[in-house]
Amino acid sequence: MNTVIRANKLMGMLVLIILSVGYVNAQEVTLAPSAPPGINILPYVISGNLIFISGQVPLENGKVKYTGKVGSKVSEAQAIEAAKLAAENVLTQLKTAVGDLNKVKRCVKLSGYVNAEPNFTRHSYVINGASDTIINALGENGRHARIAIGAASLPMDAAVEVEAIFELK
Amino acid sequence: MKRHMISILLLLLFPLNTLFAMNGLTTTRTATPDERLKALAITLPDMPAPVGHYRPYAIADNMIYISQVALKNGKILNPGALKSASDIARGQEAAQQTILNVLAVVKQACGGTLNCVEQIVRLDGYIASTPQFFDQPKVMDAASNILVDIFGEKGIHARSAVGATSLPLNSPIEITAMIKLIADHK
Repeated sequence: MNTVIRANKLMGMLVLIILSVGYVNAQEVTLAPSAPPGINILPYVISGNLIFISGQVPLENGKVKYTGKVGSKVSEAQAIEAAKLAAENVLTQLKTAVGDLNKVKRCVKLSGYVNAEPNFTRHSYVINGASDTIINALGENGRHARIAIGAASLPMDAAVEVEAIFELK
Repeated sequence: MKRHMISILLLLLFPLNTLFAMNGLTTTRTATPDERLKALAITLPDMPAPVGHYRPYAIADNMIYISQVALKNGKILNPGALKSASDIARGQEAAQQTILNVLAVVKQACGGTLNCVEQIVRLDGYIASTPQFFDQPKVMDAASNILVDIFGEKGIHARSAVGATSLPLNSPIEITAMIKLIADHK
């Protein structure tokens, strides 16, 4: 009889534990969708033999080096420097992803966004800074298709943002 | 006698509870995107009709290309440019609507399921912004987070966020998505 009672107690405890485990797991499923900023994106994604690098701003030592509107606060020469720095950050992500730039077959496409005043028209000259940086690093294989656009504003008030697609060997 | 009844009852309950616990585990760890969508109580909208001479999607090499704005029941949700940090919330609401529209297109393209997704590859987010609005990434996070809630690891993607002077239909946001589909999903 005593063993039956003990078995009962044991079983009761087990049931309680299992119930609470089930409860915790059920709670996990219905948690409200919220995550810290930027946690659900990656600096790059590889799909097939293409690598997609997320948009990079002219970040240096954790700070955006060139901020503000191109055509007023930021000169064209400064914007070119900003584009070079953003493209260097693209190459840093690429190196982190593949280890060695020799594994890169070619740069496929570059998108360059310039935080431009409405009357600024020399976007392509600004984004040449980024294109030159990629070509300097990859030689002929660095030549790419490209789009240059004037943006109303950019994250962290960056002067330029550059993103790229590369093909891997 | 009473004790025996209790023990029998507990024994009966035991396998049931184990099942519940297992169910909890499988739903969290190995649920399909369709199952997670249901668990999150998200209802996908109908696929918005194109507003010009284009198709809602194109597929090349198992990659599906989709662009959507914040259309909800035929009207733009929270129209107009975002001006300051106090506009982030209405931008995020529009971002959620826009990404659900993107998923509605995926579901349509895959014959009524989201289980065809191999990997969310990349999002380009264009946020209608005045020059003094710099929180485009926070707005886009609302879209990115939904993808990870539904697709787990496969939902984490590369992204860019850009401020635009104006967008089609006065939408506060436009999202372009590149999503890799499983080769033999049909």
